[in-house]
Amino acid sequence: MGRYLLKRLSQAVLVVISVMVVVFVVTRLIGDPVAVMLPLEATEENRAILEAQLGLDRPILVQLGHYIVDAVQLDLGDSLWQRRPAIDIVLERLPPTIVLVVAGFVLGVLLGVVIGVVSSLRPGGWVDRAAVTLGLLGVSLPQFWIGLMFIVFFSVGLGWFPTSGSGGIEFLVLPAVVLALPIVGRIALVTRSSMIDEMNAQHVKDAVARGVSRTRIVLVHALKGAGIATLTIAGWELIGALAGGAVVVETVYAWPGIGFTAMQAIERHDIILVQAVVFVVAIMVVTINIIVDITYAMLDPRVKLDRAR
Amino acid sequence: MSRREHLLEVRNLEVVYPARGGTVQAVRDVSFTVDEGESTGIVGESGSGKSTIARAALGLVELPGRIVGGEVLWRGRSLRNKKYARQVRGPEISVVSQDPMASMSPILTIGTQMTEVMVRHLDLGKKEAVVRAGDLLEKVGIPDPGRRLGQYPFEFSGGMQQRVVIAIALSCDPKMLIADEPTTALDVTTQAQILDLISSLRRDLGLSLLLITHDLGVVAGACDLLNVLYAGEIVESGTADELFYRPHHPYTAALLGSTPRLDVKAERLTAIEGQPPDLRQVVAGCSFAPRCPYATGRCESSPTLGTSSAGRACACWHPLDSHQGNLTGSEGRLGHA
Amino acid sequence: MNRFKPQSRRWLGLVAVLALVLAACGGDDDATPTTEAPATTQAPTTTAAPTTTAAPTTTAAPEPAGVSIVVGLGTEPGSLDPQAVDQFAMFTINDNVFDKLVTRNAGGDLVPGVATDLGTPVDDTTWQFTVQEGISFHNGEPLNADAVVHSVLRIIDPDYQTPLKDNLGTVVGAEKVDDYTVNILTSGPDPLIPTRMTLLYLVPPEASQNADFGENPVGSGPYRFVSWDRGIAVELEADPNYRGGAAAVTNARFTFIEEYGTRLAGVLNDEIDLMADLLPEDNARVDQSWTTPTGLKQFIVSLNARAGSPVEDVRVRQALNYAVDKEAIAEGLFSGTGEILQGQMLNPNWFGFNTDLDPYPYDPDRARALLEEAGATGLEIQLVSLVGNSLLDRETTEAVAAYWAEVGVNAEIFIPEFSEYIDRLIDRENRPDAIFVPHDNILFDGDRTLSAYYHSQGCCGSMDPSEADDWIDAGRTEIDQAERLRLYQAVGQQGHDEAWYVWLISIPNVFAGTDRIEWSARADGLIHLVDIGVSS
Repeated sequence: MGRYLLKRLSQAVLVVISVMVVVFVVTRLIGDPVAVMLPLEATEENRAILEAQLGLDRPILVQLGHYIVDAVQLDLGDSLWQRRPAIDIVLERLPPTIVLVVAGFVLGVLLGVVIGVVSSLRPGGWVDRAAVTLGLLGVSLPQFWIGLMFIVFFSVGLGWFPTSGSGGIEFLVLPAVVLALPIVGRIALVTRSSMIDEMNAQHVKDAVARGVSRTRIVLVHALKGAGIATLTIAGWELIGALAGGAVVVETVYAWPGIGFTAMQAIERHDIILVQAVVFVVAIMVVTINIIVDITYAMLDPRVKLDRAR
Repeated sequence: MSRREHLLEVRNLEVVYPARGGTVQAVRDVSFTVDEGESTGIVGESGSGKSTIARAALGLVELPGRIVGGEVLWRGRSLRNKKYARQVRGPEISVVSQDPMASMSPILTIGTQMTEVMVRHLDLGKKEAVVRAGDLLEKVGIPDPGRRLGQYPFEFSGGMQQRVVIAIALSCDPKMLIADEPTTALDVTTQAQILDLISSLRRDLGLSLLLITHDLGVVAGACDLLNVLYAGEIVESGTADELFYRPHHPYTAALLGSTPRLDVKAERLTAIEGQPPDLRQVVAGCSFAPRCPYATGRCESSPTLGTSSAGRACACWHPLDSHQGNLTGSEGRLGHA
Repeated sequence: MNRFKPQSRRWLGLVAVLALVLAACGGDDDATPTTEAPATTQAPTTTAAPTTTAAPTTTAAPEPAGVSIVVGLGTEPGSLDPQAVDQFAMFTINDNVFDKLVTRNAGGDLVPGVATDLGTPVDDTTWQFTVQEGISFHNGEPLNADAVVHSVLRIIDPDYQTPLKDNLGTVVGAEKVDDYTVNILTSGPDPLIPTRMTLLYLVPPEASQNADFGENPVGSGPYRFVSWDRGIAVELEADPNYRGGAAAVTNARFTFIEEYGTRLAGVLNDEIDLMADLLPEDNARVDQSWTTPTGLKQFIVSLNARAGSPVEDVRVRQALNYAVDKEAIAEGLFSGTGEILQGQMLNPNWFGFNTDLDPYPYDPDRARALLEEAGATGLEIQLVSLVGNSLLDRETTEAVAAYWAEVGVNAEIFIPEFSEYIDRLIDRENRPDAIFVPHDNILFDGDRTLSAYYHSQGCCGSMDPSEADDWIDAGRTEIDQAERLRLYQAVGQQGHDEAWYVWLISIPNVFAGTDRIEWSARADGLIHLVDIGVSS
């Protein structure tokens, strides 16, 4: 296990470095941060001065070199917008995102698994049909729109929740639900079909024949097997929620996490801050991947992590 | 007049299920019994309905299949009652299937798979169940049970796996074991070992056995009474000796003739001409007639399973023991003096 | 920078990230979103349930219940150091926390701030200001000549790197004359020094040297800084000892909600009392709305008047003016809230406005006639524009192009990414045929606008050298107001006759608010909390 972890970690480092290089190149291709920081009529001279101050006038390879060297020491530069270390900003804004993503993810997975299992027990029944429809809706409707609609309906209309911001748990409900919706949809669909497969498997039928209780069949024999497929999807959902969904939901609900920060950074062309956000997200993504793989091995004893056992 | 109560009584059982092109009559009027300590075999080729009978004996004929006639009784009570069937499966009847690897959950330890039924049906605590499981493993011939209990099915070889399945089936000390093609997936040597194991367990535990197979060699040593199944009906029944050395039904003889044997000088195997009938369109008359060398016009009406002597039955208008050696009979075929 | 401590903190932070992720994957987290304990922000009593009067939100000694309001801002400033950034969000907040020598009244006129008057030009390179006595900063430091000198030197210090320097371009130094008198030193005669002083916030000499001054601003204004929860809100409280007397609003919370729909929902739900940038179409949905008395953004289309341009003929450019129905645009896109520009880029309340000029009326027939005369019917040109930078910028551009199409000029609209737009705007070699520009000038003075747009050597003008260049150069250093006005008016006249631009509308800022707010919008678009009244 130790060797396996070491191997995965070194792979992870490579992945993160590659991601950072890509982000570096892309952010510099899409626009000039100096343009947004100065008034429209600023002179060329002033633009040049600012560029030099920010180190953006050096050849791009030089910038890349400095950048990687600094990044390894966790110096990701100072945010152009806030003029302080970008990594500090990101780490400050990280806890709210984690709370939101965890809440949404757990809600989504739990609900999705429950709906998937219940649907699979009676395929074609009304629960199944309703669940599949809801699942498809959750996946197809854009989160941005749903987020705003929820505000209109549940906050302004019914007054059950505040419209935005953070604070107590009442602020968490709407954004977590919006974040969870596509997760519920996909997890339910995947769980449903894996459960149907499992319930039709020979060992399930034989377990019934040998007298294992139906509850246990569903919850242990079938679900544990179906769990593998669900786990894969769940891992991806977590990553998707973290890297994408959080940005949308946090912006709509003014939830002060790194997704929101990423939006602010992009709007202001603060490439340093964008890089820092991507860096942290990349680390979290590779970590989640590793955790998913390890959980695989825990769920399915046939999976061998190390080749030599 | 008090009859000794049968454990399992199947009486005029009829099972159908819908399929493309019509309704398949999988089981048509099958009757047999299994008594305490008895071992009964059901022999038939694929499609003869034997697996359906096995399921019926467990109360597991489920949609789309339907029991449309007859009874399946366990100790006098119908197994069509789902609640009763659930009670009975495990502690009174259990099953061993064809492919042991497919029969067990790959992601649960065999210890778990053994103790879960025990905990449920025998009301044992976890610890006691584990101890009992260990004992069972020893009984089926698996050494070092303590370590093995924590292992997964894929960590056992084929033969060991089947032993484990047997152990799981015996967890709650059932009265009858249904073995549905228990050795088909195993190599010949292992087959023999497993059959031996089953026999010795029968003796030690007083277990009844319902053995279902297509393989005549398997039933030979294992069963007191055999039933030959063809096209959803029992065409002949008797002891192994009787059926092997003096088969009455032409199908039985034909089956024997098509079985390879090691102790007789190689003769050409005689395949049975023709195909089993399409059970979607059942016609009146003996279902074997189209393939039978002895068929006559009489065979257009269905023969009944008459009883020719104690325990011996045959459904044929021209049973072989009535052929007086004229036609191509079975004499000499088996090469016994 | 000291590399050790921050670095180990960051490694710790990263390990914490991994640990948090691992822990989070194991199960539920609790609902509180911030793990740091913000020292002074309280539970969200002011943002959750609608309140008319709220409990005090400060952690100071228990005070009697005050009046709290919530202001919704669409952007968050990068820093609250009032000299560090040129961001309207920062001004909106800090104009309540800091003082200036010179400020504006609600109507937009220059009035003394903490100075006794609007300054006196002593000679060509010196302006003298006297500061009122007895004013101190919130931390006790006195606001005297030393503080003013420090503030000036700080902001023009080349190491300090502030974009605000642009607007203070002529200021080269400051010197103390006596305890309350200061000389502002300039590089040459500059009539705009009093105006420029409206951008120079006065900071306390000692406190402003703290590294975290940008996060803990200390000023001398009617409101004190309380806290800044990054990404969430800034809290201010009224200084009870303020020289101007007690204010109605004791606590103000500026929340940052970038998403317009969400911010508006906050107002509709009574969670936010006041917000800016209301879209015209939402006017009917809110309890109250206020519009700034004059526009703050000038929408114009710059035309390339240089020799060799497809629109070099003045008749063509005039035609392009006659072709556009500006009233219809103001009415249709802006619900009548925009003011038609009077054939010039300046607003009536900006210095240099020419009262004799009128907008080109809507006369498509005349336009067609002029185009035919110039042989330009069917002309094809490119119209560069942007999107999302100002309210309805793209829609306005599309409307203009449609009007041009009706008189036979086909404009292909090209909206590049913002930095490319800037490149095209300031490219001195290749001027765009036509380019839409949203111009603003917080100095409310013609120099900056005319220097940029009416001067052939300016950043963004598209014309060949003319007399206007000389007039603009002269006006920049003309101390005599009357003469300066005459020069600028001449420039405006020339620009109008030459139709260097299609002048469209001046867009005001529209605010929305709940019923309990009593207020009116200022000409400069800022929000002075002292002017807000709250009814129960």
